Amino acid sequence: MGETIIRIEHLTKIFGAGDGAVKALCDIDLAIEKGEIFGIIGLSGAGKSTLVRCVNLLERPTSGKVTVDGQELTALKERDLRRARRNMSMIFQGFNLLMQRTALENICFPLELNGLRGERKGREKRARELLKIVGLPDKADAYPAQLSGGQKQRIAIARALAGEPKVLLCDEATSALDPTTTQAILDLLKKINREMGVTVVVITHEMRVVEQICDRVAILDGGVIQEQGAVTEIFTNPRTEAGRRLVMPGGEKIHVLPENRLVRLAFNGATSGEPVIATLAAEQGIRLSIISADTRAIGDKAFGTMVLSLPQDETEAARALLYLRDIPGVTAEEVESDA
Amino acid sequence: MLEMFTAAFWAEYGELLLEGIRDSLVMVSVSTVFAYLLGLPMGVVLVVTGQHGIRPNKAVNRILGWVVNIGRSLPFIILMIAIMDFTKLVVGTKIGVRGAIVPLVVSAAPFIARMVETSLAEVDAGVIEAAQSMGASDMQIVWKVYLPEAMPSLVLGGAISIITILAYSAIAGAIGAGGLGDLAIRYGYQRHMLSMMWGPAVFLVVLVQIIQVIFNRLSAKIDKRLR
Repeated sequence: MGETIIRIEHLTKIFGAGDGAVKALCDIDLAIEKGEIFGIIGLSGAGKSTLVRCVNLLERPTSGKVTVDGQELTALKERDLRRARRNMSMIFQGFNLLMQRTALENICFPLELNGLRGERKGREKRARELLKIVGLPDKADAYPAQLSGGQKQRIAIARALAGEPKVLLCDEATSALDPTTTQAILDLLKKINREMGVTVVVITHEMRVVEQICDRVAILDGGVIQEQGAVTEIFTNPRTEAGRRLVMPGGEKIHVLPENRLVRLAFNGATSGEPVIATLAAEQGIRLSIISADTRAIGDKAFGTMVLSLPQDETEAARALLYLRDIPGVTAEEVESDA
Repeated sequence: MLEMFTAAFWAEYGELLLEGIRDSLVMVSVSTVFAYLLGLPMGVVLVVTGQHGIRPNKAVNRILGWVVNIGRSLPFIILMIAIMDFTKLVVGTKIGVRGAIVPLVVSAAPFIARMVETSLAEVDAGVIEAAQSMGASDMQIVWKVYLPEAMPSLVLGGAISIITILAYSAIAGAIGAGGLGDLAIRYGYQRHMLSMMWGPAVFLVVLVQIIQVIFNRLSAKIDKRLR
């Protein structure tokens, strides 16, 4: 276990008061480690956006403690809290760029705010470096309205990195983007995590996002953390109802005979979906049945997940698993059935 | 009123008309500047202290809201007369161009406050939140987010404010404030000199058109969302 950078203890958030009070988060405990990519997944209304806003105290928790990088944020005064926030930055589903500023000026914005990082020239130099990192060196003078969604998010990421944060909070950062662009943004986040050592917290409702970049994940449902652990562990063996709902495509319960082993495939767009099963039958003579599937084809690439039932014959099942695991762009994990 | 197009008319009244135009322009421009100096901060405070503002404050927001509403609900001509003593206190006279500027400012500032409030409220809450997440202070959010992001809308509001002040300034003519309104009342109404009424009217129509066009173009030019 590494060093903990974000620690959330007994955090509860209640909106409103009296009869209209809504308990958005209930007794949340989380420890996020330095340098990891941590996913918080949940369906809409689960409380994940509130939770991430409690990390930088854009929302003040009703009770509980939030500690980031050794500093107890919930105990800080306004002014110190503002300074502490500069250790963290945030990207959003709606990008939230300043529409009247160019890309370069947007990236300079956080540097202007803290006013300690030299003059305009220095800020612009730093901003240009960041534009390179996010792959848009030629968009310095473009206004957000002239950029595509993916480009806007890249600028937002560059802006978020400008102050050299230790933590990057991503609030549904890819939810407004198409699958191909999502992929590119996720790759960028991963690169930033690996190369700059920034701890990344990813809030999402998409399993695929967690699958692709997160090391660990917490499942949030009804304002409560249902389960948390390594991504592979949760995906292969979700222990709670909420976990199963998220992991299994379509969300329905899967009823199969207990002797049938199930395998869950996740397509990340590197390959096309349906031929996989056809090829398996044609080349290996193994026939799998599709239990449920939630895949989308974009061009000839497939995105999404599929649950297949493996043959009852042990060796055939093992061969099928080996074959599936070998396909580029597909993750295959055995999962337990509900039966 | 055809005498308006004769040399004799202009020889006699030309100077009077030009003086009227000059007085009107002075009244409007000076009043606009001071009305914005008052109204802009009021509008900012209304947004900042509002329920969804960055520093919600029910008491401040309500009280300022009342003040603004009272200012907005008094017809200009009543307000002008009602605050005459105050006017004299501030500029030393109740009449003339100087005497008109005080009630114009007092009347236009609340109007401007509401216009500014509406413009700032259009700024995307997400952008404000992003600035907060970066550790921006309230003042930084006002100066670096609210005002620049709302600028195209503020400029359009500026045209409406100036034109409103122009209309009020003509009313101020009723108590001898000078300017085109004064001419229209003294010569057009009291002496039935239609030229002295229609002349200023035509001039005002043209002036309003020009102001509107200039501000529309300016707003479009600075607005980077449209490209």
